[in-house]
Amino acid sequence: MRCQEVYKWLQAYLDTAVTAEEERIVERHIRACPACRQRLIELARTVNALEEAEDLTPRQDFTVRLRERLKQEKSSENRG
Amino acid sequence: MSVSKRPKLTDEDLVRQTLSGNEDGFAGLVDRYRDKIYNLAYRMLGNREEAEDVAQETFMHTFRALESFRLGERFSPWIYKIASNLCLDRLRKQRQPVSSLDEPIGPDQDIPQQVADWSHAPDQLYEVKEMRADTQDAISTLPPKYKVVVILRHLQDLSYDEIADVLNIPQGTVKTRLFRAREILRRKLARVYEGGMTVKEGVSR
Repeated sequence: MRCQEVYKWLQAYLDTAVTAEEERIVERHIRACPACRQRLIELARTVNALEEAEDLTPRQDFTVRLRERLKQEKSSENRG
Repeated sequence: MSVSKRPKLTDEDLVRQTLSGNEDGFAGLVDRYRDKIYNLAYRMLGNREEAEDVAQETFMHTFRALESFRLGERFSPWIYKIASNLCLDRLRKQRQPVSSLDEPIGPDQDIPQQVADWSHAPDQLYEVKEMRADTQDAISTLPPKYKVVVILRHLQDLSYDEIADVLNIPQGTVKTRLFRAREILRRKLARVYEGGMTVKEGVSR
């Protein structure tokens, strides 16, 4: 099977969104094709890098500021 | 007889509390989603100030629109939808040239013109930090509609189905965009890791 045809399954394979049959096709292909094997490794590394991205936190006063804004909005609604 | 713990409130419980006028309900939702929404916005916009703004706006919109939330449906896609739309609006207003990127990916036609400016980045960072910066940098060069799919999938851990729901697009489109986005990122990051160069330098080639 040609690399191009395998490619969409290679991508879905990363998300474990392939059928058992597609999985077999992908695995058979990458055993025989170094270029696709390399591609799969790089894709997996890309996904890994994304999933390992550091979680950030907003400023400490985030909730206080939000509460203040909500209070203001409610009080202006009551006035109106 | 076993002593059962008090069950954790569901999102829906918190929505109901809020709608009945109990402020703890909304505080609970903010606590639960604050970091997630902030990170979504940060990955989309690449800027902490703007991410704060959008996260605040998201909760304001959520609060105002809560009555239209259909109880029984999942809350998380609903709030992600609000946040994603606010981010996409902002990116649209920045008027980035993205139209040509709808074309299928051909050899070397996958690189958007806009490149994040990271000239201000410190020269000396630990390797891991550099890798993270490269990842964020690579994300930031993606066209918005690809970026949002990648972020929802890999940073917020949503399924194809849930992303389709959030963005109101067919599942097939989710897959197409996700696969293209990952292919763009793969090529960029492969150059970065192997060539020992930055995303910016990679793009200028």
